[in-house]
Amino acid sequence: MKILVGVVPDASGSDAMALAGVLSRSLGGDVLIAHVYAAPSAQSGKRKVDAEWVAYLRADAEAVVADAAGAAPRYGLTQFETAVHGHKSSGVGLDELAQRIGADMIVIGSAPGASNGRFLIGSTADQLLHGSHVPVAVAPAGYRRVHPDVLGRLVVAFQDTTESHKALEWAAEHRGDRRLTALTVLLRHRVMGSNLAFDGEGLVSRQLEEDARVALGAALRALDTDADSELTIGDDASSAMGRVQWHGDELLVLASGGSVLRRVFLGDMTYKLVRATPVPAIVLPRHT
Amino acid sequence: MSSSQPLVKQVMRVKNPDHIVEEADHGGLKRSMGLFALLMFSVGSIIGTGIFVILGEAIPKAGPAVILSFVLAAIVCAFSALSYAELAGTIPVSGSSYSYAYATLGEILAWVCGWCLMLEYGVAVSAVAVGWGQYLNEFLAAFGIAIPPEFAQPPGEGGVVNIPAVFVVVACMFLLLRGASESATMNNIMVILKLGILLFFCVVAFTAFDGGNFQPFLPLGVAGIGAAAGQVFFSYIGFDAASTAGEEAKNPKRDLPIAIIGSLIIVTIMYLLVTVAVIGANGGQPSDYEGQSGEAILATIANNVTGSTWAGTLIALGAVISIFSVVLVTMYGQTRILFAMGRDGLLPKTFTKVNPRTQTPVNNTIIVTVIISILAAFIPLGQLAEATSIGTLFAFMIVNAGVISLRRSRPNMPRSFKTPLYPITPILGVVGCLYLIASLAWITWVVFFAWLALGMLIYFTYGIKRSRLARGEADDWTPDPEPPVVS
Repeated sequence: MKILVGVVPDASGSDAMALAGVLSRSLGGDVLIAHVYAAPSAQSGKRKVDAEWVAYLRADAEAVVADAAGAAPRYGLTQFETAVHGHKSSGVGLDELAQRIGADMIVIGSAPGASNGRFLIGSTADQLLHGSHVPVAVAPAGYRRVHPDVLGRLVVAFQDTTESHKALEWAAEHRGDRRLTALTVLLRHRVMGSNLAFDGEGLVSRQLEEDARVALGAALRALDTDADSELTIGDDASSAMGRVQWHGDELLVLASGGSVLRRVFLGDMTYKLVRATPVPAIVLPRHT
Repeated sequence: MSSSQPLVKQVMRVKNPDHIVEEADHGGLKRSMGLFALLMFSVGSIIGTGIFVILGEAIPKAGPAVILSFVLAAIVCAFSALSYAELAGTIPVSGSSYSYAYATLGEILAWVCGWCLMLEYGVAVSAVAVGWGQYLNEFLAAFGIAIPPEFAQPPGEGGVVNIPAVFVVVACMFLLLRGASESATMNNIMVILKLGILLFFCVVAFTAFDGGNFQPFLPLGVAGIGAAAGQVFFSYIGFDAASTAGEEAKNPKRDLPIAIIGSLIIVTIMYLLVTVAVIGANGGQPSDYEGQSGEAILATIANNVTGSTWAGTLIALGAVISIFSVVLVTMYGQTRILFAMGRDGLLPKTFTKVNPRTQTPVNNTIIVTVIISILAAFIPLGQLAEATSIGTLFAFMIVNAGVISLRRSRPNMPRSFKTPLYPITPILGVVGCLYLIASLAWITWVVFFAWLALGMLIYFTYGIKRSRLARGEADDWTPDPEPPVVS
């Protein structure tokens, strides 16, 4: 497995490296530390000025990568390669680089401003989550300080959809001897003013739980693997995820859903979960 | 096999209350609702269905004495509300009258209750959608847009099909399919909007107040009061909402009864103010309402009083927004009651099919939309309102009876709230409901009994065999005789 970690010169770069380290130790694989610098598009005029400017940016990018490489051993990364890549948008650049080197996944940190344990989707993540050809792993802010040595459990966000089944398949393939949990996340639809209050909604949740359990049983039999199942319910993704007992050594496996025109397109629920997960998540593109 | 049991035993089987609690797993609800929130919840659930649309239908039935009809309907509601509060405090789950009946009175009465609730929700939402269409028309008129009457009225009232009513139902369907949520904040905004419009109307209408309009007070005699009460009862539906919030109330024992009764008082005062304003401004005799478009009556009167369209337009806009939310909430209720009955095996499984992506019951919602759209498109409002009232009154009667039944079968069961002056209050509740049912038009009775007969047919050919209790998937439960209390 080849893991491409995109770094930037701030704490989220370290979070991403920490996650890349955990993933490479857990799943096995080589790490490539890379930084994408903002190369102007080829159509721009005044080529000479651009060449100097690009050279400056490239030198700057190499310095970023060198710094990251210097810090990498702190996160247990001792053997790795480095690269810089120019592209006007960092997300697309990372995807381009991943394809060029045949990476199996891209690892990134949160956009600035996220509180600890949260992932904020910035422009890079947004581009990757909408267009990456390979799975995208995201490290929540502060992960560099709390990361485990290796993963202890893979948690698949499971509902009875084709994408979810693919996510379960991916997790079963990569679990090794780790625990595997299928987590069904239910969001309560609260319609104030109904004189049924939660009576009706509780029943809908129960039905979904039963459906998910049946679908999960069938899926696990087909994959010839075992997994425990868990259900969480909340008014929003954040409160539902908050009810799960996290130990910090999990990786949340999410499927992308929605448009067939995109590779990784976050369905409504996946989008909510990426923003609410307190542990790293990996989002699989549709074709995985 | 339970089918070998005597028929009476089969239809009277009750669900174990513990099983109901287990079924309704709400995932750690927070007790977050204080008295004010409960009061707003309850007021919000009541106001918005009837008062915007019903006066044009009810005043011609009773004359100015329609004021007493509102009071009478409120008193009947109050008795039933106390019964709701007691059941809510006894069976420890947020529930509807359907689930209460299933745990107390037996499967067949639970089915009847659910079947009546279908009439309540399904028909009420059609009626409200019809009213919405009228207010939309009134609002658009200010901009010179008029929907041709052929497409804005049902047959029999000068139209072919009521398109705006269908539009609002379908729009709500899409929201429900997506997984609509109406938050407490949105609820509060809607409550304030509705109260604001009604108060604004009162202010405008009182400028043209004429005390002479209240004479004669009883042009149609005492019988008129009952007849109109049966109809305006429709505008109190929803008062039981607070009883379902037991699990969320911070102090349910104290706050629930206050919220239920308090909201009834607030709403009754509001309704009386609006009614007095309407009669004062527009007259109280049946002849004053001939030839008027009844449904958007508040907007029409405001326009007449001010001599321009701005006041009516403002009221119509407020009504269009707030009635939309009522349609949404009521349709939601309808889908979930069908869902509950489907889960119990009394209706086919298609009603319990949930889309895992949107987490909403899709087939159920679409079926409800189709039926409601047909009703809203082709049936006039007055008939819809009466049919709603009779279904609801019948369900309330069952809830009152449920209190009596549970007090007898489980006298020592812990009750966080007990209705005062037992057994007088639930008996008066039953009697009051019966009186209002008796005062409704014969055609409503015919519709209702036809509906009940259809319900019985479905139950005896489907539900009785397929119910989860019959198939032994849920615990059939016989209340244990409790030891006498030693004091």
